[in-house]
Amino acid sequence: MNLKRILAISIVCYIFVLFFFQVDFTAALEAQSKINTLVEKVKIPNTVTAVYLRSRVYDTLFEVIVFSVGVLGVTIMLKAEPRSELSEQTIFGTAQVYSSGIMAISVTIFLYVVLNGHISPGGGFAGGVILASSVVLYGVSSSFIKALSHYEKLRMKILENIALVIILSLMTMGLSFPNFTFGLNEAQSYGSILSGGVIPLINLLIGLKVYAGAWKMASEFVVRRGTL
Amino acid sequence: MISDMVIYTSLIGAFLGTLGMLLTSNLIKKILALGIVETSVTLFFTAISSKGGTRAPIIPSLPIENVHFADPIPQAVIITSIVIGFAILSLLLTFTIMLHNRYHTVDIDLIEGMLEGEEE
Amino acid sequence: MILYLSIIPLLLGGVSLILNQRTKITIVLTFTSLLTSIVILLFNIGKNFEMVIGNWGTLGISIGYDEFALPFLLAVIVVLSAITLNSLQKSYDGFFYALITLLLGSLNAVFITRDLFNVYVSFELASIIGFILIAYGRKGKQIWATVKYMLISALGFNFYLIGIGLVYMKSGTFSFSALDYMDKLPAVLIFTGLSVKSGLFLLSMWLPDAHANAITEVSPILSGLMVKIEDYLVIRFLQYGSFQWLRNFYLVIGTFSAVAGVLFAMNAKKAKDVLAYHTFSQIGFIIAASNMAAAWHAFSHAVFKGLLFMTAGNIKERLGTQKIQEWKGKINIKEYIPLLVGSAAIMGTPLTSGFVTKNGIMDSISGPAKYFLVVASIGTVISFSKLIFVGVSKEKMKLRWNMWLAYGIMVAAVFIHGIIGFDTHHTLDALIMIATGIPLFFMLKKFLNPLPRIFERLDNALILYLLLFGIMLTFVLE
Repeated sequence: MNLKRILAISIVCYIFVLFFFQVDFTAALEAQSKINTLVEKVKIPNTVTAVYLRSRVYDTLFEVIVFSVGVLGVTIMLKAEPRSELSEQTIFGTAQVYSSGIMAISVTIFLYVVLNGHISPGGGFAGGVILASSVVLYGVSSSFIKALSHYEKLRMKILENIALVIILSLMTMGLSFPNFTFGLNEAQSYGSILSGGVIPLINLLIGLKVYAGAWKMASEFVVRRGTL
Repeated sequence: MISDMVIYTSLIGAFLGTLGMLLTSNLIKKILALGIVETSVTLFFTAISSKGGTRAPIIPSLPIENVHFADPIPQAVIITSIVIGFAILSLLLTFTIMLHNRYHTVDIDLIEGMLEGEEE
Repeated sequence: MILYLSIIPLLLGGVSLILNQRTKITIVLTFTSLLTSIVILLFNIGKNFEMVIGNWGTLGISIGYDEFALPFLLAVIVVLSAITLNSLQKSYDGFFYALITLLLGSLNAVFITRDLFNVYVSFELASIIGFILIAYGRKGKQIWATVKYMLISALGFNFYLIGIGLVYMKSGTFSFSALDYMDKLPAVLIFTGLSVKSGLFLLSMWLPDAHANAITEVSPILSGLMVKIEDYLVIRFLQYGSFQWLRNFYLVIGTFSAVAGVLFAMNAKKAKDVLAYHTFSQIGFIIAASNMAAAWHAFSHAVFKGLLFMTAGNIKERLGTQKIQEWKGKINIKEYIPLLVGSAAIMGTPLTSGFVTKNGIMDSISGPAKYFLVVASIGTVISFSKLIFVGVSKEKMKLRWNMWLAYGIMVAAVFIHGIIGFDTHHTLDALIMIATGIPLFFMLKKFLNPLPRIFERLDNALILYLLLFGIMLTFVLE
């Protein structure tokens, strides 16, 4: 047993010491020309979004599908597992007040991050995670049953599915007709929200999708393992 | 230079995560160590994109100023890898819950011992 | 046009993810995407091109098609059609078919892409689908097998990401063309990062557990298609300059894997274990040669190993055991024929696909490695004699039409490939190998007992992988 540990430590040390002395830093990357092309072709300020949703949208298509498969996988795999009791939940008054407040603020932040994703740092994935984490925080610190019920009440499942279909079809359109920009952004000035054309819409839908999926996953875990 | 330092830091992170995966027999801790490796790789890509410059690649107004912007492509692609890592970690935790429901432990030596004794 | 090979299955797979309550619709969508893949592939046969999606130049993702991708794309279509047909009238839900459709899309995407990061993304989609499918039966053994697979492969893929990060740092693009002038370190990182899923002995020791414990429809996918991705990438990367120096290493590790896999397989007692260990051995053959012949061997291996795994799984479902001892005298003739055809192909009997492609590999290898591969071939005959001499029962059994069709597609693929490519000049060698193997089996029968599975424990598998990784890194130093 001990021998195995020593062997493991020495191998890993050997590998990473070699890394340290072999990594070659001589690269001199010039990002200017790439940024010029991106701004010229997509006409939005945030070039990361331009890469993410335009020039490498093929990767993003896979990413959306990986996320959906992950969520459904977690849900379906855990379907047959026993549930734990949810009724007894320890609640602290302060936490309840603050977590409700944080949830209210996070909806605003979600909309800001998502709709401004092509102007300032942000985007669909970040926005969705912000909203989902605040709802999870509310659920584990205040009332999990109440948090659970909003998924049914708002019909998040249908919303999520519609979002997935629209995202996939918009991305396929973008891949099939690269020069087709839906004509939304021609009259707008550089840097306004509508100048992104279809990008804010895709960001919003990805945000909704990620929020619904992340909350679904987290709630499945909490339902199986119990709250505090 | 800052990006070289960040690359070294990310390699140290990957080193610690790999060691953690080997040295613990607790499944949850192994998964957490894997998370450390994934985060380190994310940091590595961020460092690569800062090789050409450290200014965020967001151009508020045209024409584009000639300052050293960071490269947008590694930052954009690593979002994909974060999502994939997220999916893998959540699936791993799901399977850990299922294993715990069946064998009532998360210690891999015990689980493997029980599985070897198990006939179909 | 070639882009739709992956886009259409992904789109339809996304729709079937949503409609996962309605099994019928998802089955129809799976067959639709298989049909469109066949049509698009037919339009592209014989072409050779590379293009960038959406005229983005070095900023975009390049895809392409050439003759190296053809065997793999064909294998995907044959194996997935057969297992989808086999799975009808069993109690699979819509999610299963949605995963199959998505798997078709992601596998096609790997085989047409020319972009390092897109390889990562599509490979990971395929692997995540594989992880879920292995655990689909929800038995303890299956879940443990998939956890082991996930932990090891996720670690390996992080090394791959570091490797492509280094490539990007040097060249400023993720395109395959950047691989022409890379150092040795990124090449080693890319090869070892991917090889964790390659099915080579010592590098991917999670394999026997996962392949042997998965359900009937999933084992053919894992053995036929998932491990082929890395073989395809090895063959593809060898076209680029910075991977040339690795060719000798491929030869050594491939030969080793071929021999070691056979050694374990000869001693195994359970049908699916035997087949899983043979994956090590056949992948060893492919990696050792790593040329066009090897690509076609990957196709024929996908078909015959898929056939064997499917038949073994169906027999196991019917009899409730996978010990070959207990199968004696209980196998129906309708199950025995596919088993026999598959075994004949893997042994390299003339007129089957295994004969054609194995000879192609043998011709392209010279030096001492050839003798080891001959030994491995004789070992294959010895270990498959177990399956050939099981004895057939007289009982009547009704085989449903979908199973007929599933067996029919694969058996037809084995024979058509074998007859088209038939060439007389190695016939005698093949017959001599079979003639020496079968008597050897009856002589050695008493001494064959399952070898210890100590290498397959999670920690040992991880250490072995890292050990080989360390050895590989030593070659980087001049």
